[in-house]
Amino acid sequence: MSSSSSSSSPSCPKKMITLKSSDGETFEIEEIAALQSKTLESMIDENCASTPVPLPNITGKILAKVVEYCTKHAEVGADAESLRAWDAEFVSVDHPTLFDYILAANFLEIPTLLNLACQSVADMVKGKTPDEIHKIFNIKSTFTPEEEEELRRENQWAFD
Amino acid sequence: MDSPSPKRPHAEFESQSDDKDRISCLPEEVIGRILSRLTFREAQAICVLSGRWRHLCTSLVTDLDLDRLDLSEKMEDKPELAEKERARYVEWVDNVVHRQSGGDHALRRFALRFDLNMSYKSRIDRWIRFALAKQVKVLELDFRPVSTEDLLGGCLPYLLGHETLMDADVRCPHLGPSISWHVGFTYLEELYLKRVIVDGEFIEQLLANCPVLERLTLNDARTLNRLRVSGQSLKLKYMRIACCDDLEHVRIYDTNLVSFTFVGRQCLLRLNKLPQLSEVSMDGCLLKLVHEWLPKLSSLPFLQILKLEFIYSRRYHQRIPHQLPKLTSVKQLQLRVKGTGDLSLLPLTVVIEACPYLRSFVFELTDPWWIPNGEGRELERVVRPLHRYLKEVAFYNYYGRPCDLELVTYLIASAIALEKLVVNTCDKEYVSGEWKKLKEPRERALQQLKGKVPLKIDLVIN
Repeated sequence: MSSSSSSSSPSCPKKMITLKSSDGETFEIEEIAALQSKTLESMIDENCASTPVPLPNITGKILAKVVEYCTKHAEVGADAESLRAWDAEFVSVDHPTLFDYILAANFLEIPTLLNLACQSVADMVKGKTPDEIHKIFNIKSTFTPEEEEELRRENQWAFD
Repeated sequence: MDSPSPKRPHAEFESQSDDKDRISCLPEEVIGRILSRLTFREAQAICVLSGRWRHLCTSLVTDLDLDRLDLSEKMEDKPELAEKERARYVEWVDNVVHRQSGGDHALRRFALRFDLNMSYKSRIDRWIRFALAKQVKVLELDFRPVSTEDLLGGCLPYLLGHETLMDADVRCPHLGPSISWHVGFTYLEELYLKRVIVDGEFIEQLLANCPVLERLTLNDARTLNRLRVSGQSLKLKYMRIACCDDLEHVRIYDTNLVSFTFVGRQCLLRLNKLPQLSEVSMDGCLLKLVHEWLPKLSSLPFLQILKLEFIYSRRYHQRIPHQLPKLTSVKQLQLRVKGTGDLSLLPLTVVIEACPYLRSFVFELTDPWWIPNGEGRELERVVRPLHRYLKEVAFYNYYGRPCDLELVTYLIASAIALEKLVVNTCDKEYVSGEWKKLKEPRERALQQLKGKVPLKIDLVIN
């Protein structure tokens, strides 16, 4: 797989940095791709990224995908249409994974991935009644049955 | 279990049985991002589920879009049902406003979109004061009536005036209006009013008292008769006036307006000393446009983009002038023409000619129906000065009638610097209550133009 980098000579080796997941797995990522993470960008700027960067709140399974996302989005010349399709496929995952993406993107400050995953969650909520949302996300109610009844009555019309 | 969204066929759902409420555990700023991607009603669906979510909704939602225009069809011409729905809408808004009044974060946008009228004035006033107290930046009132009877004047629209800005307890009749302005107006950046009664003086004072108001739209403001917008200190940049049928006189001068849109039939327009005005859109009677309004625009030295929309019919055909005052700064011209049949469009080239330095021209037909009868007619030609700078031309809804081809032929011949010609053909028509796909216009375009256009012009037929 070849992806172009900003270096002028084709024989110049691409700068890589190493990331270490919470369960000890290591992943290599091109510096260019890593720059999409504001967290990693500032580490690179301050020269703290020469040794493996420990990421104690991201598992190997998720980190692998995040690296894949950043690498894909660092590619030059990808057309917008196919990138959109790729993104849609990327977030076609089960809920725990989607939430893990959100937490990882939030921690690493990757705005594109964060927005993509948040939009995916928003799309799941759109057009649903409270009951349907409750079923999908298992949101725990803290209301007493009376409070819940009152709330529903109050808002019923908004969902008609 | 059914899939939560039809777009995600691969999602697995074993996770739903593991009982974890992960969405509620997300960091607040992430929840804010998710909520910001939902309309207010959609966000409400999730926010009624738990105390935490209700609190989150109150503190993180900054756009209160209270829109139930989706009920319009249900309410149309059923006055009793409509009244019931109005009562429920009012109760809903009251609840939302009551909930939101507690928090101390500012609101960005407050929109009321429903068929409400003067009977609900005291509530609407209260809601507006709530929004202003929340330092709202964008305020939208869209009270369009659902029934034709009301539309034609059956019911008195809501009136926005000085009383809205005064507390019920304040009794200071001797104080002038300028003293009563709600402090919230200092934050207002955009104001949209549809089917709201305002008078010209109120608008003038509003503009003078809102230090950051940039956008103003007045749509269907009944009884509004005169409007004046002037003053170098005004921040107003974008103004749109549409369908204000009683408007007779609009004067805009000595101010920094950048864009002006006017949709209307009869009105005296005065536009002077507007050095920032670079875009003007007008939708009205063709004759009014060419005889009265367009000539006024020649006094605007920096006008770059001009968009005109009008009905074109035999009635106007003979009365279009042969020449117009020049608009020497206009670089982009867009004509949107509503008309059917095969009436020659060449008289409209007088408008193109009025912009001697034009670089880009867009021509859009709205409903170009026409039944070809046998041979078709001979194409007319018109002689006009050449266009030396026109580089791009785009057609929308090209139908392939003789009049369409006539106009394209004219442009190819007279735009000597033409580089790109994009012809988007009409691909559907509305017949017997539904849209039907059409292929003939594209076939006609290909037959009429492909290979018949000078090689230096990049021709694209869609």
